[in-house]
Amino acid sequence: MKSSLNMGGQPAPPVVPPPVRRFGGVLLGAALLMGCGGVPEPDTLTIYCGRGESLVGPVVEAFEAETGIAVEIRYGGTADMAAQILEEGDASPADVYYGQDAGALGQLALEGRLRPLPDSILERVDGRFRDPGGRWVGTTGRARVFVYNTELVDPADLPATIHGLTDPRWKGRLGWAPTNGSFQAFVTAIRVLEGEEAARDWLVGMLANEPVAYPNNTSIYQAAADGEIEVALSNHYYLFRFLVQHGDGFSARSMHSDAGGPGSLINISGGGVVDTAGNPEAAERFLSYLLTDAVQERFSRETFEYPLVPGIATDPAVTPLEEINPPDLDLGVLGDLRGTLDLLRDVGAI
Amino acid sequence: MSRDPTIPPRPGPRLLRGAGLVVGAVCLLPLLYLAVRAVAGGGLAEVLLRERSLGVAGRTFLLAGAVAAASAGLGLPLAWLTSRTDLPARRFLTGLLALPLAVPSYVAGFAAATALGPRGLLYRLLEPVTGWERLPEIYGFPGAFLVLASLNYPYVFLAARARFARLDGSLPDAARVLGAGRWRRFSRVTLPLMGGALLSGSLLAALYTLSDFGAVSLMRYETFTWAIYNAYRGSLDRHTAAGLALLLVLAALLVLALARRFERAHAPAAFGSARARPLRPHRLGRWRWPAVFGCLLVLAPALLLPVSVCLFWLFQAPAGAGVGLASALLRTGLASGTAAAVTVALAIPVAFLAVRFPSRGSAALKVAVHIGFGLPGLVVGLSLVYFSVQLAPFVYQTLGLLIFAYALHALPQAVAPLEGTLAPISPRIDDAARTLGAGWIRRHLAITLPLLRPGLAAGAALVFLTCVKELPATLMLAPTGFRTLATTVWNAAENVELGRAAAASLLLLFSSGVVLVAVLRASGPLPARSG
Repeated sequence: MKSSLNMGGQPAPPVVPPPVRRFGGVLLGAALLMGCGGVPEPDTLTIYCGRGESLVGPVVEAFEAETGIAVEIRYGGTADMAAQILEEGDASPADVYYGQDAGALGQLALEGRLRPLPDSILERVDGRFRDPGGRWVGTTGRARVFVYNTELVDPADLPATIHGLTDPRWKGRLGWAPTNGSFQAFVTAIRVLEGEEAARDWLVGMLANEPVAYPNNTSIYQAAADGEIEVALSNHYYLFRFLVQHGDGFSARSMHSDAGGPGSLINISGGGVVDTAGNPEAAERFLSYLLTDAVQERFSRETFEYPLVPGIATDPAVTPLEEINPPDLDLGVLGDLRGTLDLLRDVGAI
Repeated sequence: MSRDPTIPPRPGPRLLRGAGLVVGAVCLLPLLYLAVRAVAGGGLAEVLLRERSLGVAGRTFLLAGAVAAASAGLGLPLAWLTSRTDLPARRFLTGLLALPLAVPSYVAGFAAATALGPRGLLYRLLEPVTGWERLPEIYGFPGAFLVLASLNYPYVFLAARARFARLDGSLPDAARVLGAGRWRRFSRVTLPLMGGALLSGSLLAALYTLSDFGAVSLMRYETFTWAIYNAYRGSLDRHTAAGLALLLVLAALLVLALARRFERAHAPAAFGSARARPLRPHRLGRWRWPAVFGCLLVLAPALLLPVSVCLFWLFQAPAGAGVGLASALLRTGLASGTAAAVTVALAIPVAFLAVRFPSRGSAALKVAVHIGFGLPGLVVGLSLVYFSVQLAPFVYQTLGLLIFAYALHALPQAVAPLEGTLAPISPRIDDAARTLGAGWIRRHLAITLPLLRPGLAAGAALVFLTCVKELPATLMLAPTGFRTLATTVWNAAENVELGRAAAASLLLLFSSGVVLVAVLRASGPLPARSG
């Protein structure tokens, strides 16, 4: 028995068995056939979704069953899907953009890519959790938290505000995700609430403590549980997903702090109707559906996020919204990320 | 590339030139897109004025150069061991040693972080014994280098094996007769003959490194691709991102220019006669088992680590891990298999022009073909969004467009092995057939294509492995609802469903391995084997 994968050796007689060739032909034919079916039916609802499929998929199926509207849904990163809508321009097939960061929604609104929503949708949620211009609406909320390793840190030692983390005693013990959308929204919140100088001072102070930079929130929680870092800044709900998989042995926990300040910011996942939507009525129905009691309860139960429709209970494991005392901030300002990115680059955080 | 000096250069038949022109033009689409975005939006000027760009450029070159050098340093000895010696289990090891090409860098990067992080799995294993506080830092250059070098050396390994397989034994024998020692025979005869293989393999490794996001983001090493992704993701800032991507293209062009200069300086006059005398395999003696151990050591970061970490996660959270995997597997096979066929077809005119009709035009074509491989999938994807929506909205988000994107990205991988196969085939064979009255179609179907089969098969395999793991362009361009194994891994990881992500990764690896082994068996010339 001899063999070698060859990047250009001596010529040899063809030995590819006929079934292989036939299979190749079938592949090609099938590809051509599938290539023809690309354009969606006119009455189909097309959703560009920056949230996970295992979460949103069942909700979409229930929506289809209840309304009879056929849905085509694409999944991708929250920012990537928004960038794709911008790149598609007027020809975008998307009817709904559904993402998990007020920043990306705000960007689309700023670029004029979202159309105003009716009051019947907007008024389902508190004024804090929707676009002041009425172009997007929040569907669930996520709070900023301190994440800490339970073996290395006594939660009583955690500072009361984010500014406590710039104390030199935290040097070499911190983690953050400076390229992540929700972190950048949080920095925007510092700039708006406390001013540019305070935001710069905080970042410079943090950098002096040499925080470890992670690519996303999942790796932050993992690193905190491993003790690779001791304290980090992240969102609240990832913890509960880890606890579901690992049980109580998972050695990271989170704490809400900085009441009234940027460290207790509530960011949202939410949606809007794309300005070039071919099917805006169905798009609005979908957003309304996300704000029904049943779907809000489902999100609360499965993702441990905060339901934004008043009267829906938060999961008992999660600190209720009323106890957090988030800052009084218009989430629409999170769309202006330019200044935040310039600042992060200027101080050398990204 | 070698050419019979007695044949004067010809511009090539019109059909071939036309095909080459079309392929070249298509390959320049991403560049055109970047120019529109970067120049119109002022992104290029902004990026050029930024102080940090210099550091990013330095890190990018350092990593690409180091990965290319390590690929050559690993690939050549491994190829020699598996094709020129009496190494035990050579055939099995050859398959295993090629397999890292199938491992997505985001999987290997995640595995390296989980296992080798300062307090990762390895730390937990060692801690009771050693009492260490933490492992030495893996993040930054060491981690990115480890992951990318261990995934990319097979480019050199496979090219070098192919070259060893048809090395003419009479050349080193002649050197021996002339009194050259073992080292001198290797350094003055064999090594120069390996130059082309080393170069084409290292070039692919370097270009892949330029385009990679998975490993550099998880290992936290800030290269151009890292900066491009952050510009897009931070503020949907397409202009700055395009400016950075143009700089990345410049970096790729620089790498290509270096490769070309090297190629010219070291091109061998001939590979030897068509009826090469087989080389006798070297006897390793007591080094046999240490050599096997060395091969396995190379595989540790690229295969052992990702597979063990995936198995760990799978056992940790097995619930629902298999959901949707069967249809994802079928769709992955369909898209990547068709892409492999299409890409190889596109590579044929490029390889013919480069080998048979070398000219400035064909050299430019080769450069154009390589650009798409040095660009991150995100940029290739967005450029095709831009053009297809503007020019051909009916193909947007169809399987056809996805396959086109794959071909654009993976083309140089099909060109390199094809050139290698074509170079030693004398054009006079074709002339002889013509004299005997064979028509154009018959000559190519009956003679050229069968002769090229090993190169076609190897190219198709490399393209297939690349497409199977491609993620960003797939998320953007696949038909809505068309889930591949790679997008399943991404979706699951995004949701912290690590068991499902692990199951999909393992299936991706396993199916790529099966395809690789099938091609290993079917694709042609076998190294002379004795003893």
